[in-house]
Amino acid sequence: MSVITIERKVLEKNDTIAAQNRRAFAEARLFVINVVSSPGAGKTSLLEQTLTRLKGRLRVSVVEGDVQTDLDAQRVARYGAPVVQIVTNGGCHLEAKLVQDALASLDLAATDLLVIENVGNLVCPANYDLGEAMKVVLLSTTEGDDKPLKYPGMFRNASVLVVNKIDLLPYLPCNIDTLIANAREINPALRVFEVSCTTGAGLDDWCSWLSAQVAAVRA
Amino acid sequence: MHELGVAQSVLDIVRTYVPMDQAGNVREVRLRVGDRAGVLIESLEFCFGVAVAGTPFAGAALAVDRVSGDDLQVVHVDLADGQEAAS
Repeated sequence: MSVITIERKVLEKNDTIAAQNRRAFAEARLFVINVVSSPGAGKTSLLEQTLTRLKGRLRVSVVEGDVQTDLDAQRVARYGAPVVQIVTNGGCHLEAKLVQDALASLDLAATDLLVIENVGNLVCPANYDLGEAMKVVLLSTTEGDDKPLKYPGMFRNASVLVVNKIDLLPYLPCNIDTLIANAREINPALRVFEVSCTTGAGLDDWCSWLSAQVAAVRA
Repeated sequence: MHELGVAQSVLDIVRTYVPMDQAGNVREVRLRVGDRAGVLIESLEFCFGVAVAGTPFAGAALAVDRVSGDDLQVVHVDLADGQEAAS
């Protein structure tokens, strides 16, 4: 038997392209978030509310990832934001190359904030760097307060937790303090926003924070 | 959920290290997989079999060192004959 030593990361190709994306974002001086959640948590609703509030203040572009259809891109386009839809055809997460290809359709120089809406999946997107500044994990109260413990990878790799659908808390067994404590048990550094995309609660704080991040990148 | 893509990436990396005339001699591809890598090893083994089927690497089996953390690395390949190739 002979041995050929390899010692290479399996995902290094993805990491290499993610680094290229990150360089392109740095050159264009834009702030990029990778929004991850399970299906139905409200990623697109959060995006719609964010676009409404930031209109005229920040130039926002969007990359939409979905397994099938461009329904989300259609929703986002109504708000006047440049949007590119990536259809993964069954793929469970976005990869850096898909985002890199999508960037060709966007004018990065005319963008302050790029939102990448990942495929709805609380597992796989955690392991794929797209070149973003940070991952934002969205969790809705209807999913239950135990989810951070059950899907730790996503919460470990995210910098921000947005808890959505807080207007439903009176009707649910979900305890938001427990939810946040569980998330911080996995990742003590998580910044948390509590919002409702239905009532608008908490969204001004979220948008102020986004604006501050953009200002820091462009300063 | 994405083990087939991971298996394909493993094979792509192996291809760059093993001379084509040695492909049929590869008996084992050894990986290091962390418990946080997001990879189900039984599924990855199955997918690797699918990835190599019909290729010169069809005789290769996957061997996995399980570690803690998020490592996902190709460690080395074992070849049946005595020929050594530099990495």
